[in-house]
Amino acid sequence: MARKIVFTSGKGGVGKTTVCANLGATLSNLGFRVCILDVDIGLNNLDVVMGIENKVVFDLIDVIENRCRATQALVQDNNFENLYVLPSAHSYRGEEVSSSDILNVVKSLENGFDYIFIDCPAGVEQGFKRAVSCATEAVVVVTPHISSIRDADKVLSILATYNLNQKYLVVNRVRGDLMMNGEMIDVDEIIRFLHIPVLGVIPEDDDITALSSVGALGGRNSNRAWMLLAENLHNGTQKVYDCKQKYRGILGSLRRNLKRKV
Amino acid sequence: MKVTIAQIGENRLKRVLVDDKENSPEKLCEVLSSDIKNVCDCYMDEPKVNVVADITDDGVEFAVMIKAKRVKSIGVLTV
Repeated sequence: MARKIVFTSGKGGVGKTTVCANLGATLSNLGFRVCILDVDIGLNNLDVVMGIENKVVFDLIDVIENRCRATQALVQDNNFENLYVLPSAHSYRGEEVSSSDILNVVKSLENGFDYIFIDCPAGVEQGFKRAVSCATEAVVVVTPHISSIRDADKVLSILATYNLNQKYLVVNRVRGDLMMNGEMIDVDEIIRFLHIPVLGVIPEDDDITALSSVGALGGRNSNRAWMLLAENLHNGTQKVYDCKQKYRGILGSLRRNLKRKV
Repeated sequence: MKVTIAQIGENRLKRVLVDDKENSPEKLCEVLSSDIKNVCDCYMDEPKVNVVADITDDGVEFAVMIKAKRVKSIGVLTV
C-alpha cells in the first residue's frame, strides 16, 4: 500500500510543486512507483512543470464525477516510466469538491503505487484541508526567508490538529554562498525554529528554473540533494545535503566572491 | 562585533514566531482552560479542563471537556 504524503507550505512560491515533482522523479528512478496528485483545483501547474500538459485527457474532476476511473486519468511522465500524474482541473469551482472525494481517489490508487504525493495548494483554506485530510504524512516546504518560515510555523500548528503519522521539513532554494557570508538565515536555525525532523535541504539551482521552461526535471547543482532527500524519505535517515561545502576554504571564498560580483 | 544580515533576520524571525505563538489558538486554549478551571473549582472537586480549538472557515470553534472527581454538594458551594 502506498505512503500518502502531502506537500504543503502555507506560503506560495516556495517550490512545493518542484519538490513534489523532483522527489517523485528521483524515487521513480530508484524503482519505486510514484503517483503525484495535483489537488490545486483551478490553479493547476503540475502538468506544465512536468511537461505533460499535452498528454492530459481526463483530470481529477472527471474522476470525482465518475466520467472515468482514476487509473484512466493518470498520465505517465515523459522521462520516468514509474512516475505518474493525476492532473487537476484548470477551471472548476473548488468548493464543490469535498475531502472525501479526494480521499476516494487516493484510496482507489493506493494499491498500485509505493508513494502517492499530494501537491497541496498555497494557503490554509479549503484546498489545504482537502489535501491534508487524505494524507498520512506531511512534508512542509520552506525557503530561508522569514515570511516562508513564519507561514510554515503556522501550518505546522494547524497540521497538529490532523491525524498525521509524521511531519518532515524540506528547506528549498538554499544559497550556500549567502549563508557562508552571513547574508541568509542558516538552515540549522530554521530547523531549530520549526523543530521537526529535516528530510532534506535543496540548494538553489538555476537548472531547475531553466528546465521548468521546457517541462523537464532535475538540475546539476541539486541532483545529489534530491537523491539524499529520496533516501531519507524511504529509509528514515536524516542525511542532509551540505549547501555550504563548496564555498568553504580558499577556493570556496573565491567562488563566493565571484558569485557576489557576477 | 559586527552583526550579520543573517543574525538580524534570525532575531526578527524569533520575535515574529514568539509573537504569533502568543496570539495563537493554543495560547488562547491555555488561557481559556485556566479561566474555566477557576469557575469549575466552585462547583466541582479537582476539575480537569481540556480545551481544543478547531480552526474552520467561519472562525475558531472550541470544544471544552471537563472531568472532575465529584460535583460539590450545595452546602459547600463557594459562590
